Amino acid sequence: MDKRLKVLVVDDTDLNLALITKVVASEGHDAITAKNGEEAVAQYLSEAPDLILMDVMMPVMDGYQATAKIRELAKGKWIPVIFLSAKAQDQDQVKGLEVGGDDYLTKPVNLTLLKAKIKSMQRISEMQRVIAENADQLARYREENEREQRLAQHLLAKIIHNEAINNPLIRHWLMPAANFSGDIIAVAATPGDVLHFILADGTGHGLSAAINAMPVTEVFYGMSEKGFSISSIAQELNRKVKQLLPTERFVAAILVSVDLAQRAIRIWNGGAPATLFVSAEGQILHRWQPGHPPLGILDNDDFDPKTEVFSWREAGQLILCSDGVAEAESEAGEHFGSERIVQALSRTGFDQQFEGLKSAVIDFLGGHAGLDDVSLIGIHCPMDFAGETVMQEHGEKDFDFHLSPGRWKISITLGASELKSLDVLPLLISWLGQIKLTQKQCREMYLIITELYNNALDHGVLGLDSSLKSLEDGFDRFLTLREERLNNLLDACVEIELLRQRRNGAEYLQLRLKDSGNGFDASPILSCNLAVHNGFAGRGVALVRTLCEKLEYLGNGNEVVALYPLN
Amino acid sequence: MQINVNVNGSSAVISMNGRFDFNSHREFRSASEQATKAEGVNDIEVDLSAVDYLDSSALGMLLLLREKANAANRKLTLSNCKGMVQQVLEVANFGKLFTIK
Repeated sequence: MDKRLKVLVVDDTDLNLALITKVVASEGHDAITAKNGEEAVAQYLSEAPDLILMDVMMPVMDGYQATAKIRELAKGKWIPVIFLSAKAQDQDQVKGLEVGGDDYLTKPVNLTLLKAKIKSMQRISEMQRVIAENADQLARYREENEREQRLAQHLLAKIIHNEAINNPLIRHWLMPAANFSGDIIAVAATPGDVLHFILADGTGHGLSAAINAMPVTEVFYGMSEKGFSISSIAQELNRKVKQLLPTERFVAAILVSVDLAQRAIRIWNGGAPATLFVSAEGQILHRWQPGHPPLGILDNDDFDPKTEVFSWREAGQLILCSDGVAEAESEAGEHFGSERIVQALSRTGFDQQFEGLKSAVIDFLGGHAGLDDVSLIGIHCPMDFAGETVMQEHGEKDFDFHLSPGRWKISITLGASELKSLDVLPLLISWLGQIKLTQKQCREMYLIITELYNNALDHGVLGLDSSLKSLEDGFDRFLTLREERLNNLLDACVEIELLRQRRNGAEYLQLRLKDSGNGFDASPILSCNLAVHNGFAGRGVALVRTLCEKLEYLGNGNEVVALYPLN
Repeated sequence: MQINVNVNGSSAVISMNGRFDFNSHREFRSASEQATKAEGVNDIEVDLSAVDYLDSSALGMLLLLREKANAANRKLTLSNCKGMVQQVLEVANFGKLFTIK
């Protein structure tokens, strides 16, 4: 049923008022009246009618003036006005419509026509009401959406902000497509001072894309801090993204570790464009193609955490891009493409390369934002970095270290399958984190455990020869061989024992490692001098020796004991 | 973008043209349902020969179709991928998830 309208009837003659009021009532509506323009305006304000039937010639204020006034007061809200007038000239009707009338009937009023006009105005009025309501709702949605976007942007900025990104070796640039970006760039340093990077690109753009990528940063920072490898992080990210997001959502990501001391880069690339290593002269020295599907697609059993390793023999810059770079579209509909990336990087100087690529993309887009988020990271990989950061004191306050009366020992024995699959070191490190070591002690113990465990595994169990690393391409061959032997490992074990003890009134942590390998003659390594030793082989052990009060190899070299002083 | 489903005996071919992106969501979903629910179909082929652009939302839609096809025990193939479509599928390593010919 049609809505009952409140109709304002305006006329200076009682007879007309009575007649029109009767018609209005017969149509099932309520009539209110006014006898001149001024009264009509007052009624409009106090009664808020749905329709006005307005006479033109009236004392005090005429119908034209009253209508103009009401339109002014209505401020955008539409109220239908039908003029009823004895003035039958065309120009009268035109004037009526000009001052804001919606229709014009001449007197004497044809009552059938009037009823039809009231019905028609009722329909239009209803349509107007729906449109106004929708527009209002849309405006509210829009406002709400903008507020949420601002909140998400704020959250995201907090999550991504990390001091590690201020490293002078790192350049980064992110240009979001929509209000804000689904691309995430994060940098973290492990306890062993290996730099970890992630460039993640969630499905879609804007808010929903950013939500997809958000869970990624939390896992990335948490695991990097504990010293997990990027393989382990990739595996966990895949599990998490798969668990949280629906089937059609995923996150393309490049995970990178840069070990400046070892000059080694490891990359896990799931569905992101190729990563490039560019020399100072702009030559592409290495290219990592995407080796895996994006995060969040495969079941964990099918997931492949394999990374691709490269060790640099001359200084270079590692360039990571999101797909928004190659897919940047010019006004002519052309794509930036991977060749333009290579071309832009073919300059001399790392800053020139990075800035060159950035401005090439901006120029190509012709001042517009891209269809997709555009992200770029450049990491300068120098030759002269060896060993500098590892020993740095990071200036945190050492909290009071009171000796607890408890002595403890933990020992674990790892078999072949654990050696293959378990990221052992973070487990031990997280244990050290629980026993109130200072930050400095934690870092040093991390270094000691890492070095000695890797030695036990690489040289003891896998029988790899360190001198391989000093050959041309030796590091890559070393790593390939290592992986091959680890995969084929059937029967082996490494025993790890950590012991808290007191000797002559001083506190120590003692680490003992024993492997099932054939052992080796450790004396050359133990006697080598850190300062003059430039090769990879043995440098780690020499470093460990400087941190420990005592380091000795037992048996035939397959057992090592390190004594680390705690005060 | 126009999407057609052509069921012929035991195979269903979903073919489309133009830009395959988020705007194709509704059509592609109904095409997927048609292909996975049609009686007697064993093989579903997505013919991408006339597609000249494919974004990450489109990849997501393909993953949904893959899930549906697996559940209905139907073999899924992506065919005639070339140019940019081929590049996007390669970068995403979709060869490890789909049969591509």
